[in-house]
Amino acid sequence: MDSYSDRRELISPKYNFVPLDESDAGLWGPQTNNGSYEVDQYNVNEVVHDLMLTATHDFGKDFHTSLLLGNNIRERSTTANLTSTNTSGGLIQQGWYNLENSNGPIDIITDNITTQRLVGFYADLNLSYKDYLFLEGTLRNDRSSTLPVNNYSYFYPSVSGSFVFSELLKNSGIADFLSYGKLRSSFAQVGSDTNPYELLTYYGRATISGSFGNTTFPFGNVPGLQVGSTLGNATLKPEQTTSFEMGTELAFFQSRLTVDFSYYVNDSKNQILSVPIPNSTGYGFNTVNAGEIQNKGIELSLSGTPVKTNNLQWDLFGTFTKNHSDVLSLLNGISQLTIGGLNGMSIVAAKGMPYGEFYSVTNQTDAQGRTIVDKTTGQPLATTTAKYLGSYEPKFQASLGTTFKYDGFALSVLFDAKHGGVFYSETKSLTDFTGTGIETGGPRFGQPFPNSVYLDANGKSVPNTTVPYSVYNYYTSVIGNTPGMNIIDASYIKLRSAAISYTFNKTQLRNLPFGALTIGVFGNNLFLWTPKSNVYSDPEENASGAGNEQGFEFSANPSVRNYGINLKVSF
Amino acid sequence: MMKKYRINFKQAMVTMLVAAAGFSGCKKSLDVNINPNNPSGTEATLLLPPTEAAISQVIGNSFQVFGNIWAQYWTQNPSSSQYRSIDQYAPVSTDFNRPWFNIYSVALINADLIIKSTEPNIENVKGIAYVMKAYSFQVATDAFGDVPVAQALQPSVFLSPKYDAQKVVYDSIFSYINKAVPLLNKANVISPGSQDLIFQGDMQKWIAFANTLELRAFLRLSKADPAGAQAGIKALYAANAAFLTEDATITYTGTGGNENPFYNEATSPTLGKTQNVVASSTVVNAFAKNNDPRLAKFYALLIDKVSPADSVESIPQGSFLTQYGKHVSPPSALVGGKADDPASATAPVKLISAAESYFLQAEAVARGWASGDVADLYTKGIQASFAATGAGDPATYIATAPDGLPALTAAASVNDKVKAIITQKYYAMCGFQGFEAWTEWRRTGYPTFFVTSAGSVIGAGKMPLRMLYPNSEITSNANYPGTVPIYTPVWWAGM
Repeated sequence: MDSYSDRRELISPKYNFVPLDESDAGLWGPQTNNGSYEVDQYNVNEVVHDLMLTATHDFGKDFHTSLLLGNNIRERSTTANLTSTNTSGGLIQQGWYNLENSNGPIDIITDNITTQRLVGFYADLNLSYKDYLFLEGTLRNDRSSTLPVNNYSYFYPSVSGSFVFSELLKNSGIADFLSYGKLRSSFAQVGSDTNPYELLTYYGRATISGSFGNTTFPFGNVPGLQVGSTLGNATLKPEQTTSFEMGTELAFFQSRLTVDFSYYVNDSKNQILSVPIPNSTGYGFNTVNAGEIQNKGIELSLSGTPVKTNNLQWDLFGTFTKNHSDVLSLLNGISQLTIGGLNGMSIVAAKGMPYGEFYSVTNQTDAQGRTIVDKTTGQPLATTTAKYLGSYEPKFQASLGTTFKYDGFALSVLFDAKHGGVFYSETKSLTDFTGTGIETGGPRFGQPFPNSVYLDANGKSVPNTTVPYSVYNYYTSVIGNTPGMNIIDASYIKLRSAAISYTFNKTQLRNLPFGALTIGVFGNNLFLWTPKSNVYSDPEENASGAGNEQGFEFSANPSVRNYGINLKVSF
Repeated sequence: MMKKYRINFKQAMVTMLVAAAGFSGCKKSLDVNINPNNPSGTEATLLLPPTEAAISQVIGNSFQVFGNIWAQYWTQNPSSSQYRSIDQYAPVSTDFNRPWFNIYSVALINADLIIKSTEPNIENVKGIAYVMKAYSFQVATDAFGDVPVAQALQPSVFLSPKYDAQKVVYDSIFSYINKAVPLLNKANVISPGSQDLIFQGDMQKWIAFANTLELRAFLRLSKADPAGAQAGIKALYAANAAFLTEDATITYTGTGGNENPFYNEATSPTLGKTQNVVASSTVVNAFAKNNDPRLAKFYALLIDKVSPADSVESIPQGSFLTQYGKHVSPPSALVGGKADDPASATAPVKLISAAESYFLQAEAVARGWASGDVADLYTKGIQASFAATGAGDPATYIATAPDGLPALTAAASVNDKVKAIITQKYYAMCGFQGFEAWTEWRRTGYPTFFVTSAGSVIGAGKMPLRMLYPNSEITSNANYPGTVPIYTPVWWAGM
């Protein structure tokens, strides 16, 4: 049983300052803030029950089997209570932070409890023959309270096997060359449910929002309800992911060289998502099963020890991974679903494209990639509909590392690279708007837009060398309509870590009370190399963590380089 | 071997019992998906206030700012910057996400849910919902041009609503009004009472509102479909329609969350009572030329320490970049525009005003589409505006101001008469009804003294003639028709 509880207070002071110099009173009025106080209370409780029965049996001395039967019941309940002082009224008295000090009706932000339960039954069968052939099969049935009553039960099986073929060869001459070899393969399905209360559309207390303020209910004594902006889905199906993998592990020359390779295909069906829909439908979000999305790829890792003597060892290791995602189909004949986005840039799942494609309005370009501008103002023209701008998915990722050990010294270095993919940079957007971005620099008057053309009466491109544009207007207003201009190449190479250490040997420690002593210096995130087009930020910064919205850099703090000294001692 | 099996059998029995107990409790224990936090249905009268408040939030806040700036009543204060892009005629599509959401996903969807409700005896409430639906669709199409109507509000059928031509939207507006009137007329049904924030359930006022809205909508088509407009207005008058004689507005209060939406936003923690809008000399000069006492009511006077007279200081439209340091008059608390004055909290949001009602009737008569006394209606309109602003006795103004009655009397042609009427209507709507004033200017070209904003970035001669489709539609609607620039006139515009 797991219980978590959290109480937070948010405080904003009430103040009223008047300018010391009254002569400018018309320009700089009093600076005031009504203040606010908010209390947030969160509770999460989980109760898990597991019952497992195992049985083992050996057939002869080479064939082992074991069977596990299990029952798992899980209940998760949460409560959230967020209350604050009146949003526009604020506090009555300065410095007193309590809900009783609310200047106006208290604002109940959230009053919410949820309960969900899952009951599962599973079986796991393991077979092995001697020490080199293994087979495992599992089957599980889950029933979830969060899915529709007529469809809340789902089965999912898996089977996997491996064959350590080097065992058969261990007495032959090949063993000097191939010291270990394994082939493995697996097929697995996993089902999943969703959050509670997603099957119906609900009503709530009305709040009419402007950009920064809102009209709240009750309005005086008049209560008001409005329909929620998320549509429920009474025909929701469980999610299902089917994965197939096959791979091999090999070791050569007494493990002086090892190889680990795998190839996988993962198919996610009916992912349950809350997707934005056009507001002209009367709603903001729809709860859907997303269709079929496939991820396939390879993972390869190699490591070797080219030099190994009594006191010198040199290891080299590297990995290479390549993943490609594809939206195979979406439900109900839809060809595109929006899965997220911020500030005019959205991320979509479009049929036939990788999952998570950037989609927004951008500058118009001609067939040769030159920007089309307005003939009179010189300002770039925006596309009239949104365009696909690439996805965060890289062409490949790789890493390369090495360690040297000589006597007590050890040196290790690790590089890491990602090639391909794009990300959205809010840092670029902000530095453009404030005029501190590098491309807003240089001469600001009388310049035509770089590499631009305008269209003549027949629609043909005419290179623009004469019509200047206002750099100030472009970066403060015009570019706000084209979030596509903030999409940047996400490739990078990083020197992820480097470390040097010295381990004292027993003779050196003879007269000291230590059993072992190692000192060293290390550094992480030491260098970052990005393509010329990315002068803005580290492409790994991601505003939303692990989720559907990958590749949004939303002006988080820059990544840091750190160094240190470490000392390991044992007595 | 045997021994092993016996133990296994006992264990198996225990397992069976536990499993059986688990299974039987299964179905019931999984039935916990009823949401305790929100209901899945509600009464229709509870949906009415948010519908009214939502369209008032749009007219009174987002569209009030766009409208008042583009109708050249207000301009960006040189010492702040929130609305610069509006004065530069360069808004971005994300600026329109919130008003579009409030129109479709709050005002229209809740009105639609009222209309579709199966509760008995709520015909009056349904009538108000139809009127709100007509009003909201008119706001949407007047702002954006072609908008979804036939495929809108039905997500189970149309997840990417197609956009309908403005003419089709206007046909729908008239059909909603026609559906509303018999429902409003029905007697002996449940009255919404205080749930109706605008008229507290007074059906006569709602019928007058519906008629005035219909008159406004027909006159809007005066250039695009004059024959249809004439026929519609004739039919309206033939049915002895009564029109509004008082403003249609929600009564806002000083309580946090119930204030005038523009003031509520200006005093939010984000804007922190910054005075972002000030007087534009386009309208101030026109008021001054006519010695209009309403000038001192629409704007706050600056106390002038140099010369004895307190005055309204204004700057040319959009000149914020060259006027830094100048003290300019803010709009008054009467129109909700003075951010540091708590009296702004109770400023009304006029969905239709009494003055506007009289001027619409005057225009119908001037065009020969209705019978009545133009001069009388014109005068009543001015008197209603003076009463709404507390500017005193209008008699002198009406008699002597160049744009007052003399303008109407001197008018020979229909167009000149309409010019006088629309110009006076423009004066009456200062600060109160910015969106409607900008919309009527787009239809008629009156008043004729507009200038191009000094801050305009869209090129000489181009004026804002529509709003941009919201970014939310660009990225989520598969039937998005393509962005139309703001200087492209809508179908009914006379520009």
